[in-house]
Amino acid sequence: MTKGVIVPLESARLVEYAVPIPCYVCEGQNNFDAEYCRYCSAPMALAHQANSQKLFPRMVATVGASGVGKTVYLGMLMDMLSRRSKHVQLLARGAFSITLQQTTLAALGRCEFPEKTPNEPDRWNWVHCQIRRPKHRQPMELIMPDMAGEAVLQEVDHPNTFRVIRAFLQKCVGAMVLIDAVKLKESGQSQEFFTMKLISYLGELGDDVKRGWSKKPVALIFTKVDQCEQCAKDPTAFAQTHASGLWQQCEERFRQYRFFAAGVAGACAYRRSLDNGRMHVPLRIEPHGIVEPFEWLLSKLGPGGRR
Amino acid sequence: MRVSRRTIIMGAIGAASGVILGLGWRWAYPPLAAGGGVGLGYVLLEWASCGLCPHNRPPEAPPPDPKPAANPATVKTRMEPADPSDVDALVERMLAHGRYALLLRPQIAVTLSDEQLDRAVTALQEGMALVPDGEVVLGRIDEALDDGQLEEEEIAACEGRVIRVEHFFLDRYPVTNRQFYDFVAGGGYQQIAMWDERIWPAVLDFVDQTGQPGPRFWRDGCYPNGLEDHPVVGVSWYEAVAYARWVGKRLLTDAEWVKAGSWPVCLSPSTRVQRKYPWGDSMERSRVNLWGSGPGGTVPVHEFADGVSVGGVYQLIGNVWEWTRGDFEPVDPFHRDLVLEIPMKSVRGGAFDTYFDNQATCQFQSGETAIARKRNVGFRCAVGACDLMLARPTDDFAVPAELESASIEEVQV
Repeated sequence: MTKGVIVPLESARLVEYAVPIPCYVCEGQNNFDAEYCRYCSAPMALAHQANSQKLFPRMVATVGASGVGKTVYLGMLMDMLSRRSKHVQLLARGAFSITLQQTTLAALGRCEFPEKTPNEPDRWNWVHCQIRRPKHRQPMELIMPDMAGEAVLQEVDHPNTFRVIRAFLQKCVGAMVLIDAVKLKESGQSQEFFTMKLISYLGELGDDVKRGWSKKPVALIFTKVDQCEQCAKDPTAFAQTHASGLWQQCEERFRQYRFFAAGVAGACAYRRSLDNGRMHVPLRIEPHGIVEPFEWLLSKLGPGGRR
Repeated sequence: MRVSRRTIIMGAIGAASGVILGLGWRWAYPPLAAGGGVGLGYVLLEWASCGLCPHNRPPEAPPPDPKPAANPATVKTRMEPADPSDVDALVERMLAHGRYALLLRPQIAVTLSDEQLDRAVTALQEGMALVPDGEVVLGRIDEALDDGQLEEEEIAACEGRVIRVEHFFLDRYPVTNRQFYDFVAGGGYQQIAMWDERIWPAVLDFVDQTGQPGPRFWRDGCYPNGLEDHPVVGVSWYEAVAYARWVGKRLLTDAEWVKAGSWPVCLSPSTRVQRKYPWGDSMERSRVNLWGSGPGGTVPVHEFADGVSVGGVYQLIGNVWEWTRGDFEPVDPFHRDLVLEIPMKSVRGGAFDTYFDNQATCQFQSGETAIARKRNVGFRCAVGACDLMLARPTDDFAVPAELESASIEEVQV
């Protein structure tokens, strides 16, 4: 009796194994029960959602140097949009999409910044969400991963080191590039050079002129502007003054770009870490300029829809 | 809407100039058109200059006075010239500018008439709330306060400190733009005696958007139109201290601020009741102007009346952070030491953009550098009850001999 039940089930499983499921990011073929793509380590939940719910979300990149504040920005953005009843609203799809928001807000609530995002792609937090906008009947499906800055830097310096980053950026419909305003102002041009490298990398991704990055919207967001009032006042003027090379690159490479200023902490102090380094500690949380770049990006992406 | 005579005349000139300009244009007669143009330009310039500052505008219908009656300072009183020899006029001016606390100093109060003393006391009662003396617990005790009670062991476990506070009067509302304007227009930034000596070099840099002395976000020495009853923001700690001195008050200590909000009651030697928020132990966002519960900016100081404290103090939580007298204690929630690049002053209460409930409690302390002039930091003032004379002393309670009576001119700076 028992055997009679098991055999057809195992047969079904064998059939499922025989049908490969393409990764939603890199399109590599995976088994149906794989948790992460065997090629790029993106979560296969994205592919399963696309197959089962017939949803084909667009992808938006949030990139920047290590320590620039990508995790805080994305987590805060998610929380702010999911708590608002008017304007743009965000609805997380799948439990895995809430982890980033949860960890970020828990840390900020304790007056701490979240832990650094690990370099391994299978430990990144991916967000799949539905965006509802006033005046738009169709919601928009978006995927926004929180990629480690060091991994992005490695991929930019040595292309194809991280397949997931390259595949993801090729498919993106827009990007939010984060730049540390304090470092840019105080410690020379390392921030500017990294961002210029990144923009150069984006500009040369793909050879399709019509679908290339020159036509995609790019929001350049100066972060930590609570410690840089000059930037908070006029981010475009700040870019022209303190990152003229970057500004020139954007002029040359992108048709749709804009500079923004964002900050999350009202004031900061430091704590000595075990290795005698300094860890920033936010003294209070007062988000400013978090939603505006995202709303601008959405306005450039056009209507939503299932595909 | 009441229309002033000046407006009618300017309107008539404008209309006539317009007609002349039109006729000159139609008849292709340049001198006529030029004359009309000049007239029209004059009228437009007059109107533009009138509209730049709210105080230059001709008075319209009197607006409802939603603000506390303590300081109904009007444009008229601000512009009145001072005559130092006219003591009654000086008293009137000081009352109009909300400087009643100065008048109630025992040295001054004994020189006032009964009617003047009564008015000063009435102004004090309308503008300030009495906070009784007693003990208050300070520290990272919010988690221990979840049940509203504090046991001695809990205080010790949280490294809380029990501090005794004498009774004092506290502003019912944060200082408004209108009130601060009196200080600015009265030459407060030029009166060097009002300022800490160490900050003298920086006072010249405390200017508004147009380079005039005043809060950072003002223009031409005036607050933005329509914000007269909003809390003044864009002021450094030193500007707050100078204003407080000017009105005869001072900034609160941290213990006083927490006591006014949390209204502690000692049930027994080992048990205390102390509120987490002025209205109770759980956050109710409808009572406060924080992120997501308000318009995203400051609101008039009399709004969010449901968030009033037991003593009748408005907006201790929300709207704007408030400078206190104390220094910020650089310790994180886990009692680990923090390093500050520049020493900070303590701010309390949260503001319109404060995101987390646990950062807008009576106990939560944040810090800001003393010369910072932020969009979300304001202040309110206090004065010790023992520093004031609220009734004329009878023979039984004569003014102590050591308190020499001072003339009002001596305190009127």
